Amino acid sequence: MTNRIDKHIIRFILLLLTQVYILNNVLFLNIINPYIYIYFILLLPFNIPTFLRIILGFIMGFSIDLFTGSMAIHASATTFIAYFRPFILSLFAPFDGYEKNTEPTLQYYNLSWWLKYATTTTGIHHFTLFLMEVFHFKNMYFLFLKTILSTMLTVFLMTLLQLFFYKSKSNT
Amino acid sequence: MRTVLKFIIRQHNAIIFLLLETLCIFLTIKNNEYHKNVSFSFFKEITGQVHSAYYFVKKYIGTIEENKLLAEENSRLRTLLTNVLHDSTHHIIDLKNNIQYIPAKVVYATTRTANNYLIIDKGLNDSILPDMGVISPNGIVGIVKDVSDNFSTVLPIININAHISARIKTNSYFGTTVWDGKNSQIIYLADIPYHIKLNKGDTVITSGFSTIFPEGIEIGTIVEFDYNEGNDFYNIKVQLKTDFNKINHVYVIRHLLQKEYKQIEQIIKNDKQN
Repeated sequence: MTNRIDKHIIRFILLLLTQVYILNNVLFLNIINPYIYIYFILLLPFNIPTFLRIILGFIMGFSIDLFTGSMAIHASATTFIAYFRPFILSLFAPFDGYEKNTEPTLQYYNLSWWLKYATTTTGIHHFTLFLMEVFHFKNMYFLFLKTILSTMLTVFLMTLLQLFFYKSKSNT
Repeated sequence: MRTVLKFIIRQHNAIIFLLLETLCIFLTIKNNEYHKNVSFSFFKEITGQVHSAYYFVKKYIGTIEENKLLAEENSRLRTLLTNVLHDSTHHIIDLKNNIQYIPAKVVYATTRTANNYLIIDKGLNDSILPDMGVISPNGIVGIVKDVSDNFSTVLPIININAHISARIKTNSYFGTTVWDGKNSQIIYLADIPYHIKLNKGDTVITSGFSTIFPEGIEIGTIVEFDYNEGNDFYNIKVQLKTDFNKINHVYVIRHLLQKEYKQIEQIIKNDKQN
């Protein structure tokens, strides 16, 4: 159990640093920027208490905000997906539901499930994030375009992480 | 209270979520100049709408109130005006021409006889004396003939014995009015020499050659004129301004310097006799 909490804390720190010092400098084509720190929220255990998940989501986003000076924009988006994660999970739940003692990773579930889960969550997060950034409802087409392109990049990077850390494990 | 607590306990996750989101939005607006401006303009838009609605309603209610006030003021002024015109204590005084207008009401009038006359409800007590002019808001009426304490008889211009000095406004030639005893709307203007040019519609006014009428009170307009061969004067038909069939409110003209005028007139007469 301690091992798992450690894992989450280390993941939190690494994702935060990666996001702040590497990925925030990407800004591909001036609109595409991956935000993989939500990987932390995606990988929180199934059985985590809801209030803790929400607060952890808030802390994740708030930390990004603290480092980048974009106060509370990321926090609102991460809080949002942290709260709605169970609904997204239930959308793509396997026929017999999620098994106990499993994690929402490729280690236990297939790639198709992962892509659906990750894309939906990331899309919602990115849309909320960009909406909070512009803070108005004008020019929605651009917002959708930005969301879709950034989501593709983020999901691609997160899937690479999954494949790198879990696929090899499951093979062994 | 218990139900509220129950609700909070049951929905604690949603409440935490909403509180955190509210905090995020609050922090976003508080810490980012851009978001502050956007939200301010958004709220300004909303508050502006509310403000304009409020002021529209306020203005409308204000209009009702204002209308009421204006109506009250109107009636007050009208009362004042009526008092001025019809109250014997509020005579209009034209200081420039030394004339006092004493309002009076016609209580009796004849228009169908040759010797028409009017009775008005003011007399000696209102300092009305014989030989004062009487006018209506439209034009000339006549001359006070006999006076009692509270009533006076007026010899109107439509009396065959009434002759009032009149002149044509455009060219200042003067003559005397004559009534033929037939139509109460028409009088004739005599003594206008036929060599002068006349137009239909010319206005006939009082000449101001006595203290009875000040100069310029309208008598009527010329409707017809002709002259007979061998006669030096026009035969001018004048439509009266005053409608004697409807006459009601009149003003008696009191010339404040009449006494002085009479004295000087008397001196001339005495000189002539001597």
